[in-house]
Amino acid sequence: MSEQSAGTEIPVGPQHPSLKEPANFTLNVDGEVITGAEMKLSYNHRGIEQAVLSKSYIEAIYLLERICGICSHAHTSAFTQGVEELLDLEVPPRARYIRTLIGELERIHSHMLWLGVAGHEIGFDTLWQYAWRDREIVMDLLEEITGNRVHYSINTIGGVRQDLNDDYREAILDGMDDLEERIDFYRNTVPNEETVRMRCEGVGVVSEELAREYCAVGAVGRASGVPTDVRKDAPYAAYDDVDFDVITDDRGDLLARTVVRIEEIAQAIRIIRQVAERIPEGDLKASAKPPQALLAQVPEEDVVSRYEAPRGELVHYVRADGTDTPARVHIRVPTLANWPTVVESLKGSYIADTPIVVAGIDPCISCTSRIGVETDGSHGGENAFDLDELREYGIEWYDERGNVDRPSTEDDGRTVADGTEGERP
Amino acid sequence: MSFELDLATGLLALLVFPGFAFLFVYGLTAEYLDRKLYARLQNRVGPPPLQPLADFLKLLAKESAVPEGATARIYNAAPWTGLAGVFTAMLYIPVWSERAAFAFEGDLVVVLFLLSLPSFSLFFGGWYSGNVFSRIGTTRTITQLFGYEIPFFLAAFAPAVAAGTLSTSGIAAFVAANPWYVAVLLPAFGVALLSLQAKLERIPFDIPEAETELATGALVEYSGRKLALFRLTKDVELVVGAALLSALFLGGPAPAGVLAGTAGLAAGVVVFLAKTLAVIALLTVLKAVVARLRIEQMVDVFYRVLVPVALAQIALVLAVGLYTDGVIL
Amino acid sequence: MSIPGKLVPEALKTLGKDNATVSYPKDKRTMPDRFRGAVEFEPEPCTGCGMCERHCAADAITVEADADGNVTWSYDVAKCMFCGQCEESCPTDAIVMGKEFELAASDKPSFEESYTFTR
Repeated sequence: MSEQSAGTEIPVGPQHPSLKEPANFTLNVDGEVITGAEMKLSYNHRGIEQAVLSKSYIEAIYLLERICGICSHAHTSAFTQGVEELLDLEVPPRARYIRTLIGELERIHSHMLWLGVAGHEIGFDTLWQYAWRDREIVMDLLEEITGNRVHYSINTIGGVRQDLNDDYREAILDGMDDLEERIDFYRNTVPNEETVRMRCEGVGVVSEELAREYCAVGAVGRASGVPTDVRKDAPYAAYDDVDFDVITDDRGDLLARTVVRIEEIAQAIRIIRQVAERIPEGDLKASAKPPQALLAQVPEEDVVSRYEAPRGELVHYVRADGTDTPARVHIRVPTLANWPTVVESLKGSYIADTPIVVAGIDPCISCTSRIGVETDGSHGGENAFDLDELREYGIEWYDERGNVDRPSTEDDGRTVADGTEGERP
Repeated sequence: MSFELDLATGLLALLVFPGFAFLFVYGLTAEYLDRKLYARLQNRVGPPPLQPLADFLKLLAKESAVPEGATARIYNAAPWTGLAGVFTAMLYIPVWSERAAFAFEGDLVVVLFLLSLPSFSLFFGGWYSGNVFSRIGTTRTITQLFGYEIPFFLAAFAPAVAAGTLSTSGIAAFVAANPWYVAVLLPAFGVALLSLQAKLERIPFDIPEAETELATGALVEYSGRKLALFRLTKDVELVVGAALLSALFLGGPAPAGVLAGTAGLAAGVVVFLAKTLAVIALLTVLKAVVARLRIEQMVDVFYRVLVPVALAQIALVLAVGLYTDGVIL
Repeated sequence: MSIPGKLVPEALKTLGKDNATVSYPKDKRTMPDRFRGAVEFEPEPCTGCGMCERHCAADAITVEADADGNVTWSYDVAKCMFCGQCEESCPTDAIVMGKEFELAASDKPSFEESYTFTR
């Protein structure tokens, strides 16, 4: 994904005002035009996939929730859906409706956050402040219903933990009325503001062929004309009970992505209204048994569960080994699928377009970070490592480096664990 | 005797009013009002009144490091040149009466030149900072300068053509005597406002210091005292630019001339403050409602739209002049 | 029709609105009922079963029992992530999520609390 060409090299990141999280783009520029781009993503790697192996499934929910602050419900829903499939639990309809409700509220707050960030990246700070002010309608609703503005912790194995009563339903419907007025305002002004058009129209164009080739997901794919939406392709929670449209656009540029996201907020409002009005009565959990009893019966199987996060298709792979801790959890986040389109669309763009093109895929670098290993082909000529080989490679690398200080084991009671037991220092 | 008196009044004008002290205080006040209005437009609270002074003093207290890759002499001297330019320019703009502190025939050209010094000081400071971001920011500053200087000069010459003089004080007197010229000069006023916004590098033309792209562009390596001076230059430039626009297009301290003596002078200052604050308010609203343009879009807009408007304005002014002289119609 | 300055009417209307921000800490919001703050523990109903410790994902709670039947329940608010699973797992409602969220302090020991009681 790199091209060496003549010109200056500009490092964008890992510390850069346009990036909310550390990532690195090295741009080769010729004047104001970008001729080549290279990307490094490992700065926010936190070892979550390793840490989750030492936690039981019920604890793992809370750990995986904290992969990302904005799409936290997506991660817990995908994970619990996978575990429920393993345990063969039937989630009751009321719980499925509540999951849908929180999921759509999360989608709204994520898209409004994106609208503000996009405004900020093109220098339109007023749009940023307005979008984030109106986002508070949704944040306050979420705090009332779940107890927190982010990290709602509403999912548990077999259902949800909090119920919806009539006061909350009314508050939701009132909030949706207020929000709809504001969304109409954004729908009418943002795509029709001349300076926004000048910055976003024809910028960062991803054609439909490129989107299909690189498997772009979420609003990025939909704005290029690829109608991929897990809520329609493989419905989960209550999505086969509610009406909504999948918004697509055929221009594939930043303006298309903006319009798609604003329209998706309108669709989310529609879904939330349906859920709040027709939520069925019933239980909140599939089984009255406490979690430790449920987790005593985990079969030795693996499961893949998909979820339409605000950024696109989120995939959780869980392999169980009969105990109450997972044997492997792997997460493919939507942002990882969209990064290649950024690198491609940056070539030939201007430097001034870098922030908005990067922000255009709504990147969640915390979700994405994986370790990047640059190999020189000396690993038997192969480019693929399995987990044990990777561990060995890492240990060799450090040993060769030599003068690495191990943490002192004296004063504050730290223990030098080998990293696989999850021993807390 | 009169030489000492001239020297005393000259120094008073230079150092106190309308020179350093007045511009320092008014510049910081204008920054406060600009930030407060900008915040209110965004439904925020905004800073307290002494915030710009606090920012200035804080920066003075910080370390002013010279980067290794910088050419030290030019890097250190750059902040002073811009500041000196704008302070001096104020002496030729009418403040309390239609006559500026040091008016002379042709001082409009001097003012326009002095007002372009801050951009050059940014250029020298940024180019010799030894940082790739500041180099790109500096390139953009100069490209932007090519974009706005021509329309700015043309727009400033329109009232000069109308008044038949290149003295700022003379133009102010002329527009004050013929108030309906304010309407005739509206297009040039619009062009001058946009060009001033570009000169001050504020949204939609803050491309050289695009925060999200270049991390402050030309000023990225500046800190401490030198950064304080650059920021003060920008504030004073805002005030001086607004004063120039109000003198050229709005008649300066105009209606206050009817009062005589010290009442007239005081009223003149009040009118001056009111008009310059109105211009600054217009610039702030412009800052709040649009996004930032790219550099080639900015040059495109200025050359494709604003230059023809300014040229048309000059033609209009000539036509109106011929009409009032009875030559046509 | 796309024109520059489409936001001007909205911007000027905003001048008349109240502040969207709350001047904290001078004015404070009231937290909603379900807000999850720091954990509050009642030793009286606790049976020392340890389900809270077992289900705490952040390892913030430890429950120890010695041979004489003394149970020590300790909680480190600095490690807590306020998920509320301990409240849900406790069979005797000894643990409740409180409303306290202004928890910053400059001495580390003040984050830990522990209760010792006999069962």
